[in-house]
Amino acid sequence: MPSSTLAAEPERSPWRDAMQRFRRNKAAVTSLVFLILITLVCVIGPWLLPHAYDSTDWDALKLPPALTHSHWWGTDESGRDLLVRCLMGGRISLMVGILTTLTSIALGVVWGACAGYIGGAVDQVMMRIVDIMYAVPYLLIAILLVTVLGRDFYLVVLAITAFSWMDTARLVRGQTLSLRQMEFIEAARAMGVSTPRIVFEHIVPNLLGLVLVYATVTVPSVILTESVLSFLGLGIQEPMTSWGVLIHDGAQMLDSAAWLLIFPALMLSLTLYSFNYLGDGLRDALDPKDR
Amino acid sequence: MVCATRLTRKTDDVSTEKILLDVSHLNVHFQTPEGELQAVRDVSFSLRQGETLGVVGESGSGKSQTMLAMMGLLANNARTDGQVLFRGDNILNVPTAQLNRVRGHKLAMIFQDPMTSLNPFLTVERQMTEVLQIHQNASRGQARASVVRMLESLRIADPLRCLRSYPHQFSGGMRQRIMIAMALLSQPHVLIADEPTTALDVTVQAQIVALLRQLQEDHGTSIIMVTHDLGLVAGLSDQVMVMYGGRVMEHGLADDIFYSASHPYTSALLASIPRLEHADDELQAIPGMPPSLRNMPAGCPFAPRCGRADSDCQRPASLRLVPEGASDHQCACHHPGAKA
Repeated sequence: MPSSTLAAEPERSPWRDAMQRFRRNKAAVTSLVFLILITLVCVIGPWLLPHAYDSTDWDALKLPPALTHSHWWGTDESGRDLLVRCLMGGRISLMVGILTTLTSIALGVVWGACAGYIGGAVDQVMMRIVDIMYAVPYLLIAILLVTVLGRDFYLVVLAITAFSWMDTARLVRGQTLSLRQMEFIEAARAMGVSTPRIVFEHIVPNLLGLVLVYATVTVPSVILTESVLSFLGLGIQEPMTSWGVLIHDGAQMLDSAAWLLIFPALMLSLTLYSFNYLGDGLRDALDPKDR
Repeated sequence: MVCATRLTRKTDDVSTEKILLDVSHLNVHFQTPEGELQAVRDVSFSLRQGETLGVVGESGSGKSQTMLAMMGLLANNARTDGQVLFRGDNILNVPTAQLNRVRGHKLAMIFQDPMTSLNPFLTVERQMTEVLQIHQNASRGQARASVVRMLESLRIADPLRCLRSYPHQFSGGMRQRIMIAMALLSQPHVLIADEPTTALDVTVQAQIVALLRQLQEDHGTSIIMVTHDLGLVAGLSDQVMVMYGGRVMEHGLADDIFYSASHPYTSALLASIPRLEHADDELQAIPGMPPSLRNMPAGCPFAPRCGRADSDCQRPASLRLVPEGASDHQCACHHPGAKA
C-alpha cells in the first residue's frame, strides 16, 4: 500500500492559504495597517496630548489649525482642542463600530445557522421574525429606547445591534442551506454528531470567511448609523463626542471654521475606505476558486 | 408477504451467529410537488455478525435510499415505514438523540465521494477525534492516541503529520482511507459502505477493498457494500441483493447469484461485466433506461427492458424462493430461470 500522499508543506490550512493571498494585495494590507495605526493613535493619543477633550481654552476660541501653537488642528467655538476631540471621537466611533458589529454578527450567525440547519417550521418562524424586524422603523424604536432607558453608550450599541443583525442572519441562512446538503455534513450526522455540535463546530467554521468579509462592511455602516443617532441627539452626548457628532457640529460652521468639518470628515472617510478595501482584500483572499 | 424467509448461511451454525441487523418491509416515500413517489418498496434483509451483504443496482434503484433510511439521513420530505432492528432495537423513525446512540458508534457509514465527505475547514485530527469524544467520552489525549493507532493499523505513513493536515492536502484514496479509519474508530458492528470506491481510481479501489476485507477478518465487522459494480461484490460478499426500481429483484448467497442467477435482470447485469477472457466480445448492454420514480410500471419494473416479459409481467412479481423449496435464494420474477 502506498504511503501518504501529503503535499510538500504540512499544516496548510485554508486560513493560511488565504493569509498568503491577502498579503499580496497591497491596498488591503495598507488599509489594515492604517486601521491598526488609527486605532492605536485614538487609544493612546489623548493621554499624550497636553489638552483634555472637554477643557476650554478661553484664549483660543475658534483658533485655526497651525503648528506654531499647541492646538495643531485648531479649536472649536468653545476653545476645545480639535485634535484631542477627533481622537476621543475616534475611540467612541471605532468602539461602537466594532462592538456593535461583533454583537450583530454573532446574533446573525447563530440565528441564520440555526434557522438554515434545523429548517422546517423553525426556519419559517425565525425568518418571519427577521422580516418583521426589517419592517420596523429603527429610528422610532431607537428614540423609544433612549426615552425609556436614558442615554448611554451601551444603549447605542444595543439599539444599532437590534436593527443590523438581520442582513447577517439572511446571508448565513442561505449559506447554511447549501452547506447542509454537503456530504461532510451528512457524514457528520452519520457519525452521530448532535445537531448543536454540527451547527457550531461543522457549519460555523465554514461560514467564517463570508462573515468576516461581511463584518468589514458592517463596521462602516454602523459608524454611520451612530452618527445619525448622535445627530438626532439620541447617541453620544456632549461633552463626549464621536466622529458623527464632530462632523455634524463642523458642518454648521463651514463658513467660519472649515477645519472643524475637514479634519473629522477626513478621519471618518479614511477609516471607512480602509474598511471597505480590507473587506475587498479579504473577499479575494478567502475565495477558494482564486488560487 | 413471501419475503419473510430469512437467508441463512449454509456453512454456519445458525443458532450461534447473532443477527445484528434485521430490516423488514422497509418502504421509503418522498413527498414532492408532483405527488408522492416511492423510492424503496418492501425491502427486507438481515445481516449476521462478520457477514458481508452486497447491494447491487443501477442509479435510482433505491439502494442508497435504503441505507440512508436505516441511518436516519433521508431528506426532510421523506417518510419511512417498516422496521429496522439493530441488535434487537428498532432504529427506524426514532428521535435523533436516541438514534445517535448507535449511529456512528455501533452502526457506521462511509460515503461515495471522499473529496466532499471531510469538512474542508477542520483538521483531520479534529474530525477524527470527535467520534470518540462523542461516543466514548474520551479525552482529547486518549482520542488522539486511539486515532494514531487506527491510522497506523491502516498503514498510513506519518500519522501525526496526517492529523495536523487539512483534507485538501490529501488524494482521494487517502481521504477515503481516513473516512474508513474514522468510521472504524468506535469499532462498529456494522459498516455501511455506500459506493466507497466509485469515485476512486481502479488501483486505489483494489486497495480499499483489500482494506475492508482485512478489517473484517481482524474485527469481525459486518459490512453492507452498496455498489453498481458486481465485480466488486463478487470477491467480498456472502449474500447479494439485487435491486431495481426500488424493489429487491433477487437475493441470495453470492454463489447462487453469480452461478445460478435466476432473474433476467441479474443475468443481464452479469452479462454486462467486461471479462478479460472474452476480450473481443462486445459487452451486453441492457437495452433501454431504468424507469423513473414518476412513472414506474404497474407490474414488474424491469418488464419494459426484459426479453422474457409477457402479459404476466403486467402484474407485480413478489419474491419467491427459487428453485421452489430452496432455503436461501429468492427471486421476484414470473419467469425465473437460469438463462434468458
